[in-house]
Amino acid sequence: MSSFMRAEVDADVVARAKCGDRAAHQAIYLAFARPVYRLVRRLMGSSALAEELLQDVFVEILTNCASYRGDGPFGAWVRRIAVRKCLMQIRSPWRRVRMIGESRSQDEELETLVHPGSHHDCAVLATIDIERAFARLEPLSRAVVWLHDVEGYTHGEIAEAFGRSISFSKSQLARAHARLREALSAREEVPPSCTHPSTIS
Amino acid sequence: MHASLHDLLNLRDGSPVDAAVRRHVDGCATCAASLRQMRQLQAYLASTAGPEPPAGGWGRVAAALDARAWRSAERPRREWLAAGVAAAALIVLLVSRLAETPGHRPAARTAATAGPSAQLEPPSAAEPVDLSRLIAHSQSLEFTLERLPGRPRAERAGTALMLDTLEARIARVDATLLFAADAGLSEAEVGRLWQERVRLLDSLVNMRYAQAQHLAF
Repeated sequence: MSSFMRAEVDADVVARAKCGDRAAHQAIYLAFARPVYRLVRRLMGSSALAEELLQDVFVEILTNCASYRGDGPFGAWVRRIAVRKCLMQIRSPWRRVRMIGESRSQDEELETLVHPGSHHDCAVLATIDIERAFARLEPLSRAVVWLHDVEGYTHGEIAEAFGRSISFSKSQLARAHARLREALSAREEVPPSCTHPSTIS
Repeated sequence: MHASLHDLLNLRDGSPVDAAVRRHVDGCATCAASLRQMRQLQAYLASTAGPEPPAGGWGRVAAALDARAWRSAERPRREWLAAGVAAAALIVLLVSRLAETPGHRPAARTAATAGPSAQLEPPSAAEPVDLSRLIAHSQSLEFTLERLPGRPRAERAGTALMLDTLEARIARVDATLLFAADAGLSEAEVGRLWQERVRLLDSLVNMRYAQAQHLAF
């Protein structure tokens, strides 16, 4: 289940936010900051870009919450905006250049993303490998993997979000998994005790 | 022959798969290991909480909301000012063109001096809206803009105001386009928004190009 669906807020808070109530805005931020940040951090691949986008996403959500019609969970509406904003960044040629530059400096961030200070553990090393392999995917592939495998989007929904075909979504997912498998099987410096380095148990 | 990635993903996700493929995966250690690894990878990604949002995030969002509210209140005044500056710039341009000696005027502008968007004709209002063409045009202008040097730290007040106004108006169009589906905008309305985006972006590219040329000399 997507973390967006677990982070609901009361209908009363949403109603007050629609009227511009700043305390209600803050309550929405506090309820959804974590799932939104997790999503944008994964899709953007860099904490610097993710922090900028986190702010942009919430400004859009809070200034446009009057357009939420209540015909679905509020969390799904928030997620839709966050995904759209991320895809705008990924699609924009002038922002894409920055994304590539930012994600090249990602390796230092990866270890802190997992479990800082316990790098001798096999499972942690394997986790870092997965994080590294995931971060090195092309932004488009990363987005497809995350939306499909974690957020539970169908290929049809991904195709709609990207303005592409279902076969585009399927082939992106398969290609991304091929790259992940390749990256995980090619890891170096395996400690002797780690017999299955890419396995998280 | 081993199962393809498509088949393994379908098996993982519970989508229909040919019975022969399923039997092969059940009996093949390599394919079974690949499938297990895919499941573990998915479980890992779904289970990680990820990093905490940055500290002070709400404060920055609140400040951005305040700034946005202030800009909305300020916009009409700024747009009048921008229009005034634009009118003054146009007059200066016309006067300088009239003062040019015909003999000294170049016969035709070369590609190098013609400006980045000279070859990109903005769509005319009378033409039917071709959305894909507008989006392609917009992307091409963005690409050009990205290649221009960044804005200098010190700018003329009038230039800064006009650039800020153009950027703010593009951001406003983008925000409207973002919610076009929710707002139930028609294709024609979306087309007009894209036309407006291209027009504004074209102006922005031309101004930024002129600014870069001025700084280069």
